[in-house]
Amino acid sequence: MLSAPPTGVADAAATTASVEDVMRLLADSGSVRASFHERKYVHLLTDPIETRGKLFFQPPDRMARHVETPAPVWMAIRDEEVALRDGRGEQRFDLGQSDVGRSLVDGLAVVLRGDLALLTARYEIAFEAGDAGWQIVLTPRSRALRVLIASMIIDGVGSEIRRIEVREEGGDSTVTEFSDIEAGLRFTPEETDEIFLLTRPSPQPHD
Amino acid sequence: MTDRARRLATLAVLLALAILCWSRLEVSSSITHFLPSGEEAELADLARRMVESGLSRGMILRVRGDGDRVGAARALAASLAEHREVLRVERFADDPESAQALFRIYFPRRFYLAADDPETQIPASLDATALARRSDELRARLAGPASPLFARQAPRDPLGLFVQIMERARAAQPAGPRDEAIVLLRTRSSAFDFESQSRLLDDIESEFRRISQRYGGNLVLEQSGVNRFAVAAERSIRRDVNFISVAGLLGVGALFLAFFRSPRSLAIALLPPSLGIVSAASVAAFVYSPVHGVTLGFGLTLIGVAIDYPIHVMSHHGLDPGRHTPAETVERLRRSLSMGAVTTAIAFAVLSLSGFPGAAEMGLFAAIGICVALVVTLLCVPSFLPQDGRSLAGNALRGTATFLRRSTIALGRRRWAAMSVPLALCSLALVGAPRIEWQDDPGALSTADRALVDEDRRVRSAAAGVDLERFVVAQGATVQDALALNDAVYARLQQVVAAGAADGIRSLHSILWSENLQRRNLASFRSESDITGRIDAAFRSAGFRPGVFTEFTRDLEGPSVPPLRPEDLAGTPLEALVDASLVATRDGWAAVTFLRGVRDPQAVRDALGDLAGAHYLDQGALLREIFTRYRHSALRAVVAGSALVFGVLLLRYRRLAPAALAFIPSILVAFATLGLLGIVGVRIDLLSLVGLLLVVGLGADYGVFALEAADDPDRMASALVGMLVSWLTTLLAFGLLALSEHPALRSIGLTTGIGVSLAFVAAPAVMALAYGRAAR
Repeated sequence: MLSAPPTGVADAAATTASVEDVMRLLADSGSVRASFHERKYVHLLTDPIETRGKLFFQPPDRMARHVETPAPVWMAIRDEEVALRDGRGEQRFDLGQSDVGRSLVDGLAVVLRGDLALLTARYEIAFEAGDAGWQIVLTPRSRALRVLIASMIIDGVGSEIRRIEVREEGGDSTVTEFSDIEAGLRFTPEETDEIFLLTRPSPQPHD
Repeated sequence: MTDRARRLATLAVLLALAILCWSRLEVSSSITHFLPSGEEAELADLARRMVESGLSRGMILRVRGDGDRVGAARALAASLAEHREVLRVERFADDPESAQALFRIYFPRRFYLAADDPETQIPASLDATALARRSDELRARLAGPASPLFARQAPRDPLGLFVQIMERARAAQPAGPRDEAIVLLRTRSSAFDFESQSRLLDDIESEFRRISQRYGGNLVLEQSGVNRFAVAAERSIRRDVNFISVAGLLGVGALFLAFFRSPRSLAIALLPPSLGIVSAASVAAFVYSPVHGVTLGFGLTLIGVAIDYPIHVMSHHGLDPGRHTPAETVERLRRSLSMGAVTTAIAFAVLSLSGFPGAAEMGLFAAIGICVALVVTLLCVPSFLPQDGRSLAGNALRGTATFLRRSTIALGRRRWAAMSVPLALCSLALVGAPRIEWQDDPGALSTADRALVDEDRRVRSAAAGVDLERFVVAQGATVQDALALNDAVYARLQQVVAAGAADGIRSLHSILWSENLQRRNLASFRSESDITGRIDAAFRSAGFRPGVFTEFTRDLEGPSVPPLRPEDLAGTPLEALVDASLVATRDGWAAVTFLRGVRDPQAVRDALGDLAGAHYLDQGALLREIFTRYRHSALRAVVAGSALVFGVLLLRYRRLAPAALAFIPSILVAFATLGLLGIVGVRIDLLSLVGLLLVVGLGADYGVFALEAADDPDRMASALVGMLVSWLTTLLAFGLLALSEHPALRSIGLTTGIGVSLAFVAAPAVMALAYGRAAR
């Protein structure tokens, strides 16, 4: 689950009757830390790629994904830049003006910060809510992105995102489940530097 | 021939020669005119072509300050894209259209651009260990957020060739595009097209002011571009020249009105230098065509020298008590005028021995011009003058002449006082000599605005990421020859960077290889057997399904697109790098590699040692070296010219003492001028020395006139007042340039102004000493 401070399902259901409600709750969640378990089903591979690790978010636009298994790989997105640190060292890339690259990399960050305007600009949004929670289905508006991504399905309860499934046009898909979430956090400057790879040292990723 | 016929003939010849110059004269601006040897000429010509071609049409705009910098930069880019003088605003590979364009160009050619050393590296990349490593890399990419992209490309490119190519291309892109507050644009016209660039720069400023209000109001625009310097220099020169020419013309007009009572006398005085200039230009048009612009500019300094001859004629004729006709006055002055002109022509002609083609051209131009001016003074000027000279002389002329004669005679009676002048000049030269500082940086002559230079450097270093003045050129007869050599240069420069002699390079090789190397890449892939089987075997252990990479080998074996050529990149974000890096030279093409942080230039040169046609070029150092050699040559010309002048004077007077006296104003004044500039801390540059040659020429005139008139008190007065008018004319025509904001103009003005003033002070002393000797 990835959410604001835990609330009761009934309370949450009562306050998430629309996508605007969900986005408002996410926008109010502040900094977040959560564990994730991701399975990628790629047609080129005989078995899915499974990764586990931690996800960090600091509004408005910092997100980090620290993969712990099978091999440590840290990725951080901040402003217009992506930093990638693995056993071979660190690389930095610019997100630049590429809508496709940006959408692939920071799509989740847009949801986490509850940026409904940008989400609406990039995707057609379908929303359903029920007793078990809510579901947002995002379909890319950009033709270039649609060539790659067929849809993104986000399931949640109240202010919690529990599962994201990205379905690709070619049949591949990625399912990510969240747990152990902590929201409303305040990262110290040192933690911020370390988590979001704002400084270069730290030769090897660590837990 | 009657005076009227002579006047008409003179004006007709002037008109005819002017028309001839207008129709025939071709003006060049090639720097090679002023270079001493073939190789340096070639390199500097290449540097000039680079400046005048691709690079000069680029501008970098950077938005700084508080507010939405990125928004403002985007708005500015969008607005300028519509400007008629903007060819295009550079797009970057990151925008979707550009990325697709590059994909269409490079993806089908991925087999061509795989390895710098294909015969070794491609087999190595297909061995089991390398393929296993590659399979792990691909799996890791598929695990990341951009996996949809890699999953689509991987079946046709399991080796990641396209990604490698794009990473190289991205590294070659200027840093600017990564900062979205930077706008790169290319202009339609040359940076040196004043009207169009002036308008564009004004429009950029006004458009930014408007946009800045909308995006926060506290934004600052910083700019870089050759056009800014060109426009600033031309504006400064135009402003100065307008002011100086108006002030000079008014001053000279008032001077001639005061001394010769009529503006007509100014027109008469301008005849000899005008005919001298058009004659010299006509000869140059046939002998040297095209003539360099600097030669013509230098030729205009002839006005300052050649106008002296008619001034002396008019002052002598004006003070003549009606005993002589103009022709007789000229005949009386013939020897002095001829001597003055010959010594000056020699001083300039020595330039032709300098070894610089351009300097030889200037020397010949000046020598011809002065000789023609002398002939016109002797043969034509009398026909324009009134028979009775008294109508020519104003009270100022008479009064000043009397005052100067009395003062000089008084000075002649006090030998120690007269001697004090040359001694003072000697002291100036000796005291100032050790303090002389030479300025060999050509940049110091071209711009006065340090703020503009600093801003340009700041923006360029932020955006370009390379030092645009240091580069390596790979020259070849054809584009492909240049690219092939550039391939080799790239390999060598990689070693230079690895050794720490330079921080990095920006090479055309990052995006474009020679066709030969590309074909070798394809052949190397095709010579490998069972690539699909080897890939399947290696990738299976990383969890890949067998048979998913068959498209890769099908593409490799199937009909391929032709190798990448420069024209294929037209219209893409990489076109700017091609334009800046592939330059047409006089004999072919040059591929240019820009360098960053060169710490050891010799290591760069050594690395290129055995690559024929590859050169390291430090544009600033090259020009400084050329300017230094020029300066030495000009200084030698001043010394040699002075020695020759002294030799001629010795021949004329046949005794050491009078020859030395006539010589004093030219040589002593030249060195005293240098000394005075040294004492006041003004650096001496090439144009100071050009001004000094003018001073030597005028000084020789003054010396000869002073000496020749010393034994006749009537002629003494005429000569002295003639020198006074000559000095004031030169001061108004050239000395006012010392007030210019432009360093080049200021340099000429300061040297000429100080030099002729010292020469004018020295001349009466010479006359007084000669008078004293005669009296004793």
